[in-house]
Amino acid sequence: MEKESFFSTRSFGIRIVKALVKTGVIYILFVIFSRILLPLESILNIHESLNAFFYLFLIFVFATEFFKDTVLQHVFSVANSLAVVFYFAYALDTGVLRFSVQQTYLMIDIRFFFSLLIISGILSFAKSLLQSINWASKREERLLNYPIKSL
Amino acid sequence: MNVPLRALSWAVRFFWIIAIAFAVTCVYSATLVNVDFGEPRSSHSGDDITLTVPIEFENDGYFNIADLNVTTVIEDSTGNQVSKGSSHWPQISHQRNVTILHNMSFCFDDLLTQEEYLFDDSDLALRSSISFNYADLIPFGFETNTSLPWGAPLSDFTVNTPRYDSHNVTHLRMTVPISFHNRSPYIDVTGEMRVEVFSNRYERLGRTVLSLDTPSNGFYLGEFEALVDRTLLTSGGVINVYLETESFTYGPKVIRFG
Repeated sequence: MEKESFFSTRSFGIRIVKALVKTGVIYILFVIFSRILLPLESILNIHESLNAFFYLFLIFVFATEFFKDTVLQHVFSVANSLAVVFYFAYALDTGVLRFSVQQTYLMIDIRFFFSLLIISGILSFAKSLLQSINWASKREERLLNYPIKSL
Repeated sequence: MNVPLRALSWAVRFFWIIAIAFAVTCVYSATLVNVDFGEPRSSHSGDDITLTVPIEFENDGYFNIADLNVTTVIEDSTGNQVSKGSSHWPQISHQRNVTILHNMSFCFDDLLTQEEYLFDDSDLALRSSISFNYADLIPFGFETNTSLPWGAPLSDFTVNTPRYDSHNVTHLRMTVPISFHNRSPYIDVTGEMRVEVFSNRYERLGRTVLSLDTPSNGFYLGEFEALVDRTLLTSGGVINVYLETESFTYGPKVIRFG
C-alpha cells in the first residue's frame, strides 16, 4: 500500500488531531499541577519562568507529533530535551525553597530533584540523537533498497 | 540500533520511576518523623546556669536523618546574647528514636546589671533553629523566633513611705516596709540589702543592712527600722537601696518619698 504523502489533506488532518490530543492531555496535566502549586506561588520564584518553559515544551510536543516520521520530528525532539536540560540547569539556583509563616522560617533544598530532571533530560537528549541517527540510516537503507526492489 | 535505543528508553523510564517514587516516599516518610520537647532541667555551676532540654526524635520514616544541628540563641532587648546552645547529632537511622540533650548555658552577668531585667518582668528573644540532611540528600532547615518570658528577681520591688512612731522626746522610730517578689525561675536572691535614708537636706537619717534569702518564686517582706532625730526630719527625703547578692550587685536604687 502506498504511503500517504505528508502534504495530503487527510494526513495533514490526522497529524493535527493527534498532535492536538497529545498536547491537550499534557496541558490538562499541567493545569492540575499548577493548581497544586498555587498555594506555593509566593515561595516558588520560578513560577513565571516555569509557565514560559511549559508553553515552549507544549510547542515542542505539538511539533514533534505533527512532524512524526520526518526529520523535523527528531529536530524538535532533540530541541525539547535540550530545553529541559537548560531550563532545569537555569532553575538550579532557585531550588532552595524558603517558606515564612509568621515567625517561623522553613528551608528545603530540592536541587537534588532538579539534578535528577537534568540527568533525565540528558538521557532523553541521547535517546533523541540515537533515534535521529536510526531514522537517517533507515531512510538511507530504504533508498538503497528501492532500485533492487523495483527490479 | 534498536537495542541501544530500547535500552535508553527504558533508562529514561526507569529514571523517572525512581525520581517519582523517591519524591513520594520522601514526602510520606517526612510525615512519620516526630519531634517532642521534654521538660527542661536546670543546673548551676558557679555563676552559670545550664538549662538542659531533652529533644526526642522519632524517626519512623524510611530514610536517615543526617547532620542534625539544633541551635538556640537567647538575646535581650538590646541584642546582647544571653545564651547560645548548640547540639549536633551525626545520624539518626530510620526506625530509630534518639533523645538529644540540648544544653543552654546562661550567663546572667550582663543581664543583671540592667535595671529593666532586675525589676521588671520582661521578654527575651529566643531564636531556635534545626537543620539536617533528610535521606542524606535533601538539606532541610527550620527557624523560629519566639519570646521567652523573663521573671525579674526583684519584681514588684516596693519601698513604702516611711512610717513614724514616737520613741521618746528627741527621737522617732522610722519604719520602712520593703517587699519584692522573686519571679526568676533560675536565680535565688541570697545576700544583703543595704538601706540608707536621707532627709531633703541630704542628712542621713538612718542606715541598716537586711539579709536576704528569697528562693526562686519566693516573696520577700522586710522592714527597715531606725531611730531618727526629730530635728533632722524634713517633709520628704531619699531612700537609697544597695543590693549585694550571690548572683548580682546593684545600687543605689534611689527612691524619693514625701
